[in-house]
Amino acid sequence: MILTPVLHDFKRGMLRLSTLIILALFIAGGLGLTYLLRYQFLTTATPLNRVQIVSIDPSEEKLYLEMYVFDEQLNKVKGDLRFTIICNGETVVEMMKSIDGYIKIVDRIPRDTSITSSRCSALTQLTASMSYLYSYTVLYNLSVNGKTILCSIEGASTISLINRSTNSLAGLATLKIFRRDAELIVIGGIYTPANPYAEFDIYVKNISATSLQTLAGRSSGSTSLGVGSLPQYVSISAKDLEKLGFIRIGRVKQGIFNSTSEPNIYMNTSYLQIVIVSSTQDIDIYSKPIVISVSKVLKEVDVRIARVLNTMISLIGTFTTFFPIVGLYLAYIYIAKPRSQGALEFLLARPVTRFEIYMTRALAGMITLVAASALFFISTTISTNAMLQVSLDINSLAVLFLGLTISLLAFYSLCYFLSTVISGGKYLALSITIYLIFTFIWQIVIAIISITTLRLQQVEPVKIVEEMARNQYRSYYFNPIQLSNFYQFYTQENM
Amino acid sequence: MIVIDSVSKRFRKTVALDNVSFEVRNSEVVGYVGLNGAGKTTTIRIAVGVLPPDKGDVYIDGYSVLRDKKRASMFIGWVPELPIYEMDFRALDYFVYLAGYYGLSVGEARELGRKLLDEVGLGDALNKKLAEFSQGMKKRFALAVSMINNPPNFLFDEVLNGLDPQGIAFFRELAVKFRREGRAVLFSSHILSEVEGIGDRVVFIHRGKIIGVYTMDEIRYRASPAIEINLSKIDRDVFNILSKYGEPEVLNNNKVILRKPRSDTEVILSELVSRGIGVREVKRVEKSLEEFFFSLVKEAEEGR
Repeated sequence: MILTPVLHDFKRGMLRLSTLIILALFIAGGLGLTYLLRYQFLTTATPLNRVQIVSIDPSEEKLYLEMYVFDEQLNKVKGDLRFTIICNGETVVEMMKSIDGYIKIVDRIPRDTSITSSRCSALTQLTASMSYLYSYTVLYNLSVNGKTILCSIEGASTISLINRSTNSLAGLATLKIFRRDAELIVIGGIYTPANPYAEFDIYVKNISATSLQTLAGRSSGSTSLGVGSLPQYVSISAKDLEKLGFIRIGRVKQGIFNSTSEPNIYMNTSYLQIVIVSSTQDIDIYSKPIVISVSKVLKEVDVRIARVLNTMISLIGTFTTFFPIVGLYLAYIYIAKPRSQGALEFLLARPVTRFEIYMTRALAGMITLVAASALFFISTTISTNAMLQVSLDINSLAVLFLGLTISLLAFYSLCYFLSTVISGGKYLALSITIYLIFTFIWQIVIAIISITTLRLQQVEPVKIVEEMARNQYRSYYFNPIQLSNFYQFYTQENM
Repeated sequence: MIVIDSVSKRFRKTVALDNVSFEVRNSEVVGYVGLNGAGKTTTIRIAVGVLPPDKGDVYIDGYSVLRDKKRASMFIGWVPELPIYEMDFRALDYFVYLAGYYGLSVGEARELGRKLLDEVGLGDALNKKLAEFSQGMKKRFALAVSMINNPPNFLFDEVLNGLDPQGIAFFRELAVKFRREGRAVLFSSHILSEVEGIGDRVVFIHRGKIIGVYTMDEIRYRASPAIEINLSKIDRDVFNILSKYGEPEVLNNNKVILRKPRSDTEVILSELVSRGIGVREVKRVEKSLEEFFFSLVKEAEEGR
């Protein structure tokens, strides 16, 4: 029965000039920020995903490189590939070839004085390393269609199971792994044809020396993962592995192989699971990130999504900071103002109770705020889709939207309550004060309280910042405008 | 039918209504007359359900305003003295909005709005903002809204205040029309003559108390010219003598008032004197309606 008045109140709340102007400003701001992000995407070189196998045969002094190159969307990259090998600062190989997502290079490494010098002759040192646990690094630039990335083949002292009979070295880079507390992950292994399964070990090394959990449960600088310790559900069949979500990242010939990756800061805890399946001569390598608790591994494309998500979070953060003013104003025009003028009396003479009038208008205000949020949200989502070609998953979108609307509705409810007990100018004064407190003063007050209490408790200075952040987070339970911060927690946990 | 049943209301220390009871029957226009601040508007606000009484209740066609407010509101229309609306609305939009509370769809409400607003003379102001309405237009708008449900009962609160002669005539004719249609109308005013000609009865209120309920004929009768005579004695003979010349009414042991005198004062006095009745004082009394009202107020004041 009261649907018509609700719709009417919604209409006059939504189509109010002030509401429309503020909403338009936010939508325009969202479009502008998305455009800036697009500009950033277009002008910043992002690393190409690559699957590469590099073999260097010390006896022949030849380099073998076999590589698939993908773009962020995991499509094969076509174009000119520029390839430079730098050994300890010296350019060893430089060439250009046209590729169609795949390239195979077999080239002779020119011997010159710099390479054979004791300081940086990677290839000769590499030969030695097979016997003497020598660490080595071969850097090379990879440039496709103008985008250049610095790649490396790295050997470390941790690769200890050196077989003298091995006559080639293979390097392997997996898809990028992102992890909060790791800066570099190196995966290495040795293949011996005589006993492919028993002899096969995978090494996971966390260069940043922070803990990295592994299947074997060890977290030293280098951890050995035996094939035998793989979970029961992992069969060695390639087909089964693919079904399990493993990604085939390449095939290496017999020998040592390793993989280097530069993780980014997005993860809490994760580890890699590498399965190696051996055929007669070649090895298929599959890699699958295993998620522990809430974490997961991002690919390059996920980085882009993460940036879009971060942009949306900051956009929504701005929206939830300033759009509550509309809620404050709606409570004023729906209740506080007509109440102070006595205009609700005429309404109350209709077949309606006082409670129903309050509920009708509260509902209309809520619908207005949800509709405005939805318009802003849809425009932002469409613009990120159209301009950045990035679609966020439905869960993230739902959580963002819920965070946004819950925050707005919480503050509106508070204002609405105030409008029912105080009217007119007094309501405006009080609600604006509360808005300013929740938006700008709250965090300062919590910080002051935190510092004071933590100092009194003699908490170590290094922990004070962490404790302050924790206290801020707890305080959001009591701050309607800051309620939206909970979705940030959720979305970041899921990145 | 509107029944005001023992209604009391207090605003802090001020008693606004003290055990007020009266009724307005169907096919009846009842004037509700009192000085400013007597409690007329408070009574009407309670009757319409916008103000809760401290004590008592109001029944609209049997439905309690306190316990069954929604149903009671379906059967009553209200034109307030100073209608206050949400002024940013346009007339027809606000009509449609209010009609929504009667369960009308937007389409139905628009159609009805055009018809009723036209009927009350606001056909040209459908899309005008309520803020631009004059006092008379606001009252006409309130009337149109009150007629959404075509209720059998109406409350007109000081409705003629601030209206032009055309507006006054409109509302007076409307009250009469409503009576003809069998509706109950309570017509409040602080001027008794405003309800003259339309009211069947008048309820007088002063300082929150009902000080009298009279039919219009009674009021006219009491307000008509009369001769007040102070006599040495009053008995049946005296009464019979005076009855020949008018309608005597004994005020106390020595005072009698002769209403509607049919002869000159001298003729009446000479007969009384010739019959040996001592005449101490003779006074010609002429009351207007307002004087009658003020005499009631004075009596009420003296009786306090």
